[in-house]
Amino acid sequence: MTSTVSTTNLWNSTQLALLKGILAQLIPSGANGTIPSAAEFGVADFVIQKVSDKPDLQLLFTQGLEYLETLLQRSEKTAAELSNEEWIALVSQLEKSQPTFFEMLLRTTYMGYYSESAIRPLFGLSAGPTQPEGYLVPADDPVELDRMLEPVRQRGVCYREC
Amino acid sequence: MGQDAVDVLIVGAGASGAAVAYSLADMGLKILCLEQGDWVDRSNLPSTRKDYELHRYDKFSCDPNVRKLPQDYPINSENSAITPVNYNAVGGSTINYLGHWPRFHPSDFRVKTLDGVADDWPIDYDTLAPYYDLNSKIMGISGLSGNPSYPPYDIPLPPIPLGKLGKTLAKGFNQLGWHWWPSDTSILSRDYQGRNRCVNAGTCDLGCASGAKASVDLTYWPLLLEKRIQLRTNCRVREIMLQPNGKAGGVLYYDADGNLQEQNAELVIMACNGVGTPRIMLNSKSKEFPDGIANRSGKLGKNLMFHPLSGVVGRFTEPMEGFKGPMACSIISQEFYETDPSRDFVRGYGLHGGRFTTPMTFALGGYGIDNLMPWGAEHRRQFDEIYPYCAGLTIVTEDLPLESNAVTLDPELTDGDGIPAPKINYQVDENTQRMFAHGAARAEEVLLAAGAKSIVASGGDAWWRAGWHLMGTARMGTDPENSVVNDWGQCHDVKNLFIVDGSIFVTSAAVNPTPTIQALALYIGDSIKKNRNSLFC
Repeated sequence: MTSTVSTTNLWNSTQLALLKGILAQLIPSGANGTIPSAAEFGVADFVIQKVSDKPDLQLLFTQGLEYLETLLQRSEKTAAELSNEEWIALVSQLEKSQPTFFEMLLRTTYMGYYSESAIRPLFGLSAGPTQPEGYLVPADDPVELDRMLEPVRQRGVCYREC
Repeated sequence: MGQDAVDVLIVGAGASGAAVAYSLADMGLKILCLEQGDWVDRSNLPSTRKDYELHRYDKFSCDPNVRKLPQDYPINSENSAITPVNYNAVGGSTINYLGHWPRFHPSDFRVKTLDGVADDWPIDYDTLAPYYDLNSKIMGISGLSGNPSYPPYDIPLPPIPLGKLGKTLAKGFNQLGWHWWPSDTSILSRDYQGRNRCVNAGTCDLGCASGAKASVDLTYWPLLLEKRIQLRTNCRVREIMLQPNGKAGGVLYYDADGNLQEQNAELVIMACNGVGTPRIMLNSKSKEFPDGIANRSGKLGKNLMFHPLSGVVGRFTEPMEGFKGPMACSIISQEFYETDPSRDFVRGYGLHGGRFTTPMTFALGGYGIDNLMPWGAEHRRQFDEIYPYCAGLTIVTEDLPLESNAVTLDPELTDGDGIPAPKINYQVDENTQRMFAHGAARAEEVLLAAGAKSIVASGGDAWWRAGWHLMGTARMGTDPENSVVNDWGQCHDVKNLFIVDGSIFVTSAAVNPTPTIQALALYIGDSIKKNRNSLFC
């Protein structure tokens, strides 16, 4: 899936690029390419939506992204020019310096990423709702269950009479 | 102001309110139940939506402080190690509970006599046994009879499947020669009384759209409505009224439009759980009861017990399919349930082998835990190399009563109708901490014996958002100086006021309380019937 960051009045293009870059670091893609990163999965749209709904988060996120913009300016590079190692250093600095924003960003990222139904089959779950289909779990064979419980029964009663 | 008087007024339409209503339904009395929530729309439960996991952290959170629905009341848990969780609707917290259904042991009613701690209950296991059985039939309990950690009892339905995870854990217990047994669950292993069997969706907390999980809106309430029990929803009780003759006269409540109403009744039964009931009673102040109605003992709100929970997770070599099947139920071990003088704690704990969890909840730290997993390469590793292979055990400890663990009224925080919110003061005691340490070590042994290649999480603090079991805040007892209700739920100080929820527990045992709460409610209902002549004269 390719991210299609929505047009937003909240943040400028540099801040949006920083957001996408950080998302790619928070949940990186799988080594073989079968599992997309949070940036590739369009989680930026989810973040923008969540923040747009809550004015108190807007201030927190805007200040956090402004802080990142400052760090980027110090590096004298654009977001696109940062190496992977430089991105990791940037995120680590953010985690240390802006813990409230970082925790909220990380939490929102996880919620956005793992609420995508397409991600669940990668871990064995069905893509759709859990109800009404659910999952097939065969009933236990009573004979096998009896065999498994035989040692427990053999040890006898294990509660106190009173 | 002023509604037609009823014979019996029940406050709360959850597990205990429904059960006591069932017991009283054939008395020919006019019975009314007031419920602060409404019916749950089963066609629109989160488990029927693609983004179902998001709802766990929003409007279907188990935490009312997260949900913040109009029918919820806030809870101040700033001074608590655990925050209470619940659901406010017809069905109460059976809407979002996880349906694990173990009974108390006989020894749980005799802790003072046997172990020299807390107090004995004024009733015993044999008193409740027939009510456990009756309730099992109404709720539709699945399980396997013959568990050697209990006296014999029958179970209506066969056990739910252990699943790969449960079978794996069972091997570990067998390797060590320790007790385990398939869990009793209020989740249908077969179609039963018009309800469909479990589809192993694994999201019991998000409401069971198939109806396999026995919430009382599906089990008791259809029976109660047939018996013409009145149910009035979206009605939030503010206080219990006291008459000049010392009896409860009914309640004042806010209706769906926020208007204050008076409901008179001959008999009032509180069924609002171990936080909600003391909250309303503490708010029911009068000249006779300046510290809350029926609180001459001063015990109302005190001795709050939760069952602190912790857990251990092991990584296996094959996928454990931990997202399949009822969330909290597969197998239970009570190897360390009864007191053993050789240990450094009194009483005991259970090791519960539920299932694992869904990806978002794993990323956010686990169910009931706020502890975000690492980001970056470590995040990738934990999801790719650990998550699918996880199986765990939950340590469910007996919580001994302490007066300092208490529900009081917050002086400032209120619900939407201006009723004071409950404030929780609660700390995990040293005995429980020692149980956690012992339990974590034993759980690690089980997981490794079962084939785990490593332990990826072990023990730690009690889970925060896990105050499911709300007990002890209006305890039973024979001594009015030391208890709020007598041995059949009647308030010592107000003879036509009863309590039937977990508030009246004397001790907590180390098992999920709902079967015992409902058995108590049925028993109290029967006791009211037996004593009706003296109650209504």
